[in-house]
Amino acid sequence: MRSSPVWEGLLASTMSLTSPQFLAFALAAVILLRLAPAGALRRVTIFGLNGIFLFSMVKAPVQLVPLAGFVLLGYGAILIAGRAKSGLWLGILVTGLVGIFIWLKRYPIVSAFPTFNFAFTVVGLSYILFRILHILIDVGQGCLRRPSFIAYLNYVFFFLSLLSGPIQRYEDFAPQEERRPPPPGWEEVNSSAKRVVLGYLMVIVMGSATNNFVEMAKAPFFDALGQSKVVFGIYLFALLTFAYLLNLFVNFAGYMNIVIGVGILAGIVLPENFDHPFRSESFLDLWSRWHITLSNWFKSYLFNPLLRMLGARWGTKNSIPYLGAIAFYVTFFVMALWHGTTSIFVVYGLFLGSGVTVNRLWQILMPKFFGKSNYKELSSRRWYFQLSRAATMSYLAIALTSFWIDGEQAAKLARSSGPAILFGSFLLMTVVGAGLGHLWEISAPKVRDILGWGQGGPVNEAKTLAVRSGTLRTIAIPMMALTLASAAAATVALFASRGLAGSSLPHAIVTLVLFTVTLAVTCVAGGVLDPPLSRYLSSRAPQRQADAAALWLGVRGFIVVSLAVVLNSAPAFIYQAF
Amino acid sequence: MALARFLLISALSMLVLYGLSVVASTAAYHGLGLDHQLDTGSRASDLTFGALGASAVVYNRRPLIRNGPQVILIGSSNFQHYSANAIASEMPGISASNMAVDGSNLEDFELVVNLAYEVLPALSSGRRTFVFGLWYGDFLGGDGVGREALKSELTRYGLYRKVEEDRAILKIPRSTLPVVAASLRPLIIMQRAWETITGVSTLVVQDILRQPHPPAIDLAAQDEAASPAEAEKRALIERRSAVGTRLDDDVLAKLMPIAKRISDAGDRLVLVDLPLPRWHAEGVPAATDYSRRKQAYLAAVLRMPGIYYLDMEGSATDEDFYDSVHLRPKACMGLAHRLGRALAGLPAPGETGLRPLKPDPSHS
Repeated sequence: MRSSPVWEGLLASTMSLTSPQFLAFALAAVILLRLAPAGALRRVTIFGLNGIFLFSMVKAPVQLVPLAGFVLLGYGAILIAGRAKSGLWLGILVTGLVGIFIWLKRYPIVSAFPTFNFAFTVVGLSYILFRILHILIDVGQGCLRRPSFIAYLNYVFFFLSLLSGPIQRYEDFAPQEERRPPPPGWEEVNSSAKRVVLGYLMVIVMGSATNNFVEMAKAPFFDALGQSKVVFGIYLFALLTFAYLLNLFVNFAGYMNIVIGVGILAGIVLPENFDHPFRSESFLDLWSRWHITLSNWFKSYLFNPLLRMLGARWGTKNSIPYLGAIAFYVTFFVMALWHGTTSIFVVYGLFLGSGVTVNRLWQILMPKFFGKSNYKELSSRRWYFQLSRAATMSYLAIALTSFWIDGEQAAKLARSSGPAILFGSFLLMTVVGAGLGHLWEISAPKVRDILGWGQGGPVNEAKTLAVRSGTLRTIAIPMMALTLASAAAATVALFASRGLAGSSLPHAIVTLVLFTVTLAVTCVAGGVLDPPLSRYLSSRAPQRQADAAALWLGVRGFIVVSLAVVLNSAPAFIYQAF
Repeated sequence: MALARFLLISALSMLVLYGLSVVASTAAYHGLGLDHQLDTGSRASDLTFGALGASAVVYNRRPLIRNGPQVILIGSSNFQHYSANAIASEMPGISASNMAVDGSNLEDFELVVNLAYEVLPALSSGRRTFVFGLWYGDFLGGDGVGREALKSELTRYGLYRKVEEDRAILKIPRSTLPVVAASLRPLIIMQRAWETITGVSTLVVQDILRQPHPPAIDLAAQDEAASPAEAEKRALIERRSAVGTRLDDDVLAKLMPIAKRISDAGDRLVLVDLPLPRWHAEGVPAATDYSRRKQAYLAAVLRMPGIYYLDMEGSATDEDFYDSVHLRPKACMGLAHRLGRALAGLPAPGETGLRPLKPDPSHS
């Protein structure tokens, strides 16, 4: 798990994202960046903030030397590429930098090469490589002007995207680094602060819950695998892989919510990295919704050049779609390798490569077999969408197994009943996922209507506004619905399982109430009651909307910060004053 | 400026909410009597600080800050439900606290004694009686659940700085400890709620994963719970025997410096041998090793002034236990009263001696 750049970024840092130290630092950064005037002073401010953040990652500055050396070499390469303007030179420089990256990351293929004789950090190196290669290639091809050294350092080391992205293009970053943004309106502050709160909730609560489940489920699964219990193995593997997929999503998307939210507050807009990935219609569609900036980077700097090269060599009208499938395979295979340094990521690469290629071939061949209009009609069917969506996410969940197993466990999975379990789990997750997706599609408008979200269609929206605006019912009904739903979920969780077996009645009731309250409060902190509350406030006190929103954000923030302290503990800096 | 105003109002509302939750939690603590009694085995302590007791001994030491005579119980889970109230009721004019921590052993008792001395007023020196609830498990050594819990609680909110693996230093002035602990109450309650949810969730997940787990028997259900079946007894003897057949001499040696510290402070220490089911005491080699060696070993400790011994080993029957070491609440209450009566009859500080307590025939 730790060998993935996502985890490398989220877990390796000393000033962890969920620490009170980071919160304090982020607040200081927002204030400084909002106050810093345009030009040199703003640039120096960003430079200083990046420096503080970077040095907080290490115990001694010497640990940063290899990383700093890599970034300096990167700038040297950009200087050469800018002057040479030669494809050959560009190729040599890119290969050289990737080679040094592989050496610094200690990939197994370079294990024989000597390394530094002191502990050093490569925190954020995976993302730094992408930023440097982007500038190097674009400058080398004349698409981008070479940035100044300080602008380059600010871009490469930008503290909000250093650890785990998003991978912003330099053209987007540069003007924001230089110009002071206009003062934000309260709606903008409100939405971005709410995003930060939601991000924390995703990482702290949902992240730890799903992580606990994954850790608990591993041993029983490998026991079942060892005893060739295929049916039980399918059940466990489906649960385990889906829980891991959720864990990765809530951690990574939560992280993005935090950094993008802080960025907007500070006046630096970062690109989105997720766009409702669980709504993906296909495996290809998934990559325009999941880790979007990474997909875009690979599309720009590997897929497109590769397809151009293949097209130039073998391209005909009929062959181009198939060459595209090959380019997809290569791109996703390389992208998977980038995710980790161990050989298990080759398997991940095979999974991703096969997934996109089969998907692409399906898109090419199905219209030929069924006819374009028939295929179009088939694709528009709801059941087809549900099955396709569930199959996409199930396949991704199984592919991500590479992130949580080691080589020995992978070998076990490849033997005896392993392939049957993999395939069975895929089918199980697809069928159950499609069923649940259908159920959600039917019930979602009603749920939205009850919760007062106002997205249940124009009729419901009008009805909601007419009946509830300005009355306490606007809030009371969603609150009651939320409490009842939480109580129902808690009851099912506790009584359908044997979680309370052996407990006395008072103890069972207290636990049930505690569960219900926690679920409801977590949903409130996640913003479930925001739309009806906002509607109520806008009709009752339109002139005080901003203050009321700030107050409500304080309530949500209080819940999340308390949870952060309880789960992460030790706001030790508070006591340093004594 | 919208940003500044917005963030300021949000921050203020967070602070106000925190302030209100401190007030509410203080009122709740007062209502439950937690601000004037530390008893890790009480329902109120379980509800707010958790059943382990580690959180209570770190964050609820305010009741120890009094000048009158007091009794302080220290032990592991099988000593937790010796009610402080029951003991105090047998000793008029003396207050009692129970600082027993689930899963702790003799090495952890030293830490708990230190925590007590950190807040005990110097003026009340010589008027305190520490009572150690002992069984062979306290002398086996190793890091138990109690050690981990205590270490984690000490540094959880940054009150202590870890200086060595088993040593932490208070970072704030001692006089501010009660105020700081009071300000942390909302977080402690939230932590307790979260731990409950995590604990029950773990059972739910174990069911989903079809993993066997023991039933979650809470305090109210312990009186009615069935005694261990023969198969469970055999499994327990096997498991306990695998941990070790002899007591750890290094751990045994730890008792001497702890006793010396208490004795030097002019306070009293009563070493109480706690009962075990007969099948357990006779079936586990370490238990018989303890029975064989304790007289000789404790004799050395008992030579110090203010150190006493009470033998309660045979004061309960097998039916009084709902598992292998823990007494049913009703039986535990009876023994707590007997312990209180025995403590009330202790000689004055300065006297020494081995004072075995015979099983009380009136005990049901």
